[in-house]
Amino acid sequence: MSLAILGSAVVAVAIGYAVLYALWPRGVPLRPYRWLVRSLGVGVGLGLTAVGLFCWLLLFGVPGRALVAVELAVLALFGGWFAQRRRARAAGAVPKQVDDTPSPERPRIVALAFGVTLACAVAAFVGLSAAAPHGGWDAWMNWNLRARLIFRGGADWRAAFSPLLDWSHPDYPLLLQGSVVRTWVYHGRETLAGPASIAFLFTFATFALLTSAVAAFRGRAQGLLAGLVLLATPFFIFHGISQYGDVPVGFFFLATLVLAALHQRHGEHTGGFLVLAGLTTGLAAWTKNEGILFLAAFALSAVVTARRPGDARRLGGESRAFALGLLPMLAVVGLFKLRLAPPNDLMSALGSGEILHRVTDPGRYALVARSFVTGILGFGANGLVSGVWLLVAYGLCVGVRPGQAKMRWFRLAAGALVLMLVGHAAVFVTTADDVARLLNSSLERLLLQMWPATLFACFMVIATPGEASSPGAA
Amino acid sequence: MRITRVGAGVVLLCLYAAVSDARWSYRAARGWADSRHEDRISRDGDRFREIRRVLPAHGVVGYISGAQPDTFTTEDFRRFLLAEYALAPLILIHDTTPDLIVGNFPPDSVPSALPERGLRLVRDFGNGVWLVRRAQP
Repeated sequence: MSLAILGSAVVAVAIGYAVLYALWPRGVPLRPYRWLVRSLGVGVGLGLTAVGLFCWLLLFGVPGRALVAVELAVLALFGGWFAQRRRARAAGAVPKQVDDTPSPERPRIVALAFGVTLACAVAAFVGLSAAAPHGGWDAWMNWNLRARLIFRGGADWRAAFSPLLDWSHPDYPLLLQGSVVRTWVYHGRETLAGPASIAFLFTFATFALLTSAVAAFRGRAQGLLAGLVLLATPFFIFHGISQYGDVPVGFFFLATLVLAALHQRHGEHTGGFLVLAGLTTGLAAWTKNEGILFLAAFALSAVVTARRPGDARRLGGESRAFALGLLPMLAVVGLFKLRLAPPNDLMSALGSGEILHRVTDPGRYALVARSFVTGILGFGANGLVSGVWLLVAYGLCVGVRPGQAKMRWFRLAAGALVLMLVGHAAVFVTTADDVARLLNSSLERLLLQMWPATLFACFMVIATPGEASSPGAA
Repeated sequence: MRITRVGAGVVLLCLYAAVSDARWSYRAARGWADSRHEDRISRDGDRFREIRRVLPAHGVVGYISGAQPDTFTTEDFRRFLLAEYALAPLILIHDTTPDLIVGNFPPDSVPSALPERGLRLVRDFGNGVWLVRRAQP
């Protein structure tokens, strides 16, 4: 990997941190969440710099080194602002910071297994990326092809979205392709290290975010166990290596749920977390079309789960904060969809008669239901057991904490994930010509997108080893 | 030694991880060994290096591979996609109506003549890559 590629990653991540620090609620201590913020900053930084690259394309065409200068200037501005803010804080009263991190409990066997699995996963990632540097089929026929079309296209970059390339999904949003182009701009020319580095960052940032978030909420041992299960899920690493968009979009699903949990944990004066949750939801929609489904599922779940007397009133304020982060990203997605992207291949082939024929065909429902049950129960199989059965078995061994399961953010998260499944099922039933083929090629990837968020929700409610071992444990 | 339920649960997770570790280690070793040879996509891209120099920088060019659209196999489609990936930002269409056409044949079964009438071979770049032009009427 060249220094330029490393530099592009460092600048993106630094911009991500800067935005997180700027929006982090003032009364909430950063120290217990430092690893969470670091991993969140990776995805937020890559996402925002990809948005920046798209805006640059619209305004000035394919960028050169001037983009690097502008990004560095943005970082310098953030730096100056932070320095000023720190001086102002030092002069005024320091707010009382409550460190309510769960006490550390780290059985040695878990730490050892975690370390070994991390080392093996990194080795496999690097080795397999070196053997197949262009990624999997979809990576080179879609994501990296689009990056090439834009980067090589020069003044004619809009041709990358030609309807003549309809087989390559030119309607897919541009976070991943934009990130790849950005690495090439830093490097000065194309390099296979660009897409591979983006894949590496998203894969291991997802793992780091899950581990650090669960650790911050439920203790280190629980965080290590959650990270261990994700890293040991074969499809997660293999898919990360393949340079597809499913791991990055899964990062943003997870980030949104983590931010919702942070908001609930720190009370009502933490609108900044919701602004960030809106931002990460918008970035999910800028990564893959499934992000739009996630937005709908998350919003619907927030409404449905606001059933206590105070919830509905609070929901108004929360929605405003969420929209503040979301709307700029939605504007970018809307601009892309309306001005550049041709219609989606699944949606454009739809006619009302055809939809009616499909939704009244019980065979399609049966096929989709059967595939979902088989796919979910078998997800994450590694030759020993599936990841889902593993979670069930582990949950039976240690029990759950009913108090956690009753929390509003958990109902919101569980509702959003279930609604996502329902939404995917509806898409399969109504839009696919050959539903069996589409299920075969995409169901496992869709489940993978939701897997880190599902693990987060599960390890938040499953008892920690310490809780389960203590007398009177659930 | 007494194994508690909690201990059994943790051991189960660690066993799951250990099986994956074995897979990662094997795959990592295979990956490193395979990375000593150029991958298929890079090799395929190299076949188009020369023809890229004579094709226009932008625009739409035709594509011919000997396979008819109704008998297009997954492998034919893959070869078409790899040609597009190599020749981007040119847009390839599986059609012989454009003035310039890229011929992409498997190197071990290159035809002796153009498989379609009304076309003229401009240059054979070797390895099954041809530049073809529509013949003037």
